[in-house]
Amino acid sequence: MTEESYIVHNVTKYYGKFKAIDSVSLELRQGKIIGLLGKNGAGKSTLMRCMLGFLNHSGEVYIDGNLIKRRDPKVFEKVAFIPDVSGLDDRLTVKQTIDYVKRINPKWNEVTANKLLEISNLPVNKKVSQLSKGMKTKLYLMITLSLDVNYLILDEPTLGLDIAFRKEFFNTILNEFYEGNKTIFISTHQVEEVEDILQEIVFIDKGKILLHEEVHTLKELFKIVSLPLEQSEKIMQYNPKVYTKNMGFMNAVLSSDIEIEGAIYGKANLADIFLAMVGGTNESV
Amino acid sequence: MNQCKTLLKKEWWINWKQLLLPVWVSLAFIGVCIIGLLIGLIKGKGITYFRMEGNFPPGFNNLFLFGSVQTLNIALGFLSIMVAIMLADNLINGGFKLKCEILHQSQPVSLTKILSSKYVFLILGSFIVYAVISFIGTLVITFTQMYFTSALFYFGFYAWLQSAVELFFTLIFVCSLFWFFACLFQRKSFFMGILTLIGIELAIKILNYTSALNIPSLLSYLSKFIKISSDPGFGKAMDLNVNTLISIVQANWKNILSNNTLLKLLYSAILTLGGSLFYKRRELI
Repeated sequence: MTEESYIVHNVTKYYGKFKAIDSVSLELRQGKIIGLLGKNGAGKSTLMRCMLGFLNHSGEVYIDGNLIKRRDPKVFEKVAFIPDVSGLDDRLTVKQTIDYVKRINPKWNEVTANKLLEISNLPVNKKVSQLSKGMKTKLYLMITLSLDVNYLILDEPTLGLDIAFRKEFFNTILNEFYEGNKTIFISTHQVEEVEDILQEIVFIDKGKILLHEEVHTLKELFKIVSLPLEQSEKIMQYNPKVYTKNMGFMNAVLSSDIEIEGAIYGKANLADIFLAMVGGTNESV
Repeated sequence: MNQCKTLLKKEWWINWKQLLLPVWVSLAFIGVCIIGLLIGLIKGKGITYFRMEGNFPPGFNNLFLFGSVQTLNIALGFLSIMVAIMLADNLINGGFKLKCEILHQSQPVSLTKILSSKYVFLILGSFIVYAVISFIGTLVITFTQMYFTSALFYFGFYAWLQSAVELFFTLIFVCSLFWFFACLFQRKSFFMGILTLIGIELAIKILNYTSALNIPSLLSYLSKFIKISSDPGFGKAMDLNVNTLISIVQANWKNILSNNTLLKLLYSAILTLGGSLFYKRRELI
């Protein structure tokens, strides 16, 4: 166990009889940007909430060697979190929300906050309830990224944002927050947008961790294989979980050590690899 | 301390309209009174029209002043308690209903601090609002009656003071009871709480009937603790001499600060702590 890391050990969570998280163990090392990829209902949000002590679960969670108890406020001296739903308080104004977090959270960094407020163009005197979904997400990002913490847990952080701000967020804002010693654990549906910044990836399906790997290593393990449709049986003999047929070709993601005569090879992205491992359609990733 | 101040401020930002409901109702009542007075004046009735005519015994004016201030306080007290019951549910469950509790609980603040500030806001906030409005009302009634009759300020002031002290303890008890229900039931806590009490009462009645037991009624036991203002017992006075009335008013303190008051405080502490334990067991889904 590394001292400076976020460790999930054998965590299981039930909702009634439904096992949402199944014996998950995970180590998030300091200074990494880690993606969490899974279909809807795979257990991404539940895992993150277990990591924050919001839910009853079996197993243990440690931050920098300290065991996290349920509803332990000390977690938030080291961790900032953005939930998948707009968790902002509609009854406050933007100014009150910022003021509230600033005064209550000793990790608030005024310089970063001012910088982020400037680029976010938020109407400070408006009530949160009057903001658009995108504006609410911006506000949540702004207050979360203004905290000087070691770990940032982001559950679908750019949900509801337009493509321009999503790009700005991943390319600029997140860079602003990211320093060598900080860890970002991020779940997102727009995996293509974060692919370039991720260093590690975790695949989760049906509450189980399928894989935790460095992104560049993982990409080397798979490739896209394309063959004309009449030779599709050459691909099918490897039982790919997902394959597509278009423009007279069959494409499938296969292990990179597979060589098929006459095939065209391409680089697989994370979404392709994920689908190749768990099956399903691209829409659900 | 700074965090507690911020939490109290946040509760004020969120709940000030509801907390000040007795003010709005009082202003509406005053508005109606002023309109009535103006109509009376327009119809040619002088201000003395509103004065009581007749030959009353010497102490009657003081008795009338005490009674009218007490009536005002009972009405305002009832209103304040109803508002406080609604406020208890809003303070405990408002964030959960709006799905924004996650923002407040993702800050490095202990649940004890969060709950304490909510409880202090509920009790002190409701009481201060009540005390200020009722005191202003008392001054208006007392000076008006002093102007028109020979009533003494003492009776108006003590009627207010005794009602306020009695209401303070009742407010603590009722708020703690509904605080407990609000912590226990996330939705419709008021109705669920009342249903629980009725359910227990029915169970007692059935048990008493079927098993020939003699378990005392829960509702009549609780009603002992829900007094807004107690009758000092002027009816027992042999005469309406001012000194006799003063001694009756002073003797009333024994009714207000009795063993029942200690029991009220004890039950309130148990209900508040019990409710808080249920609250701490909640999951943030």
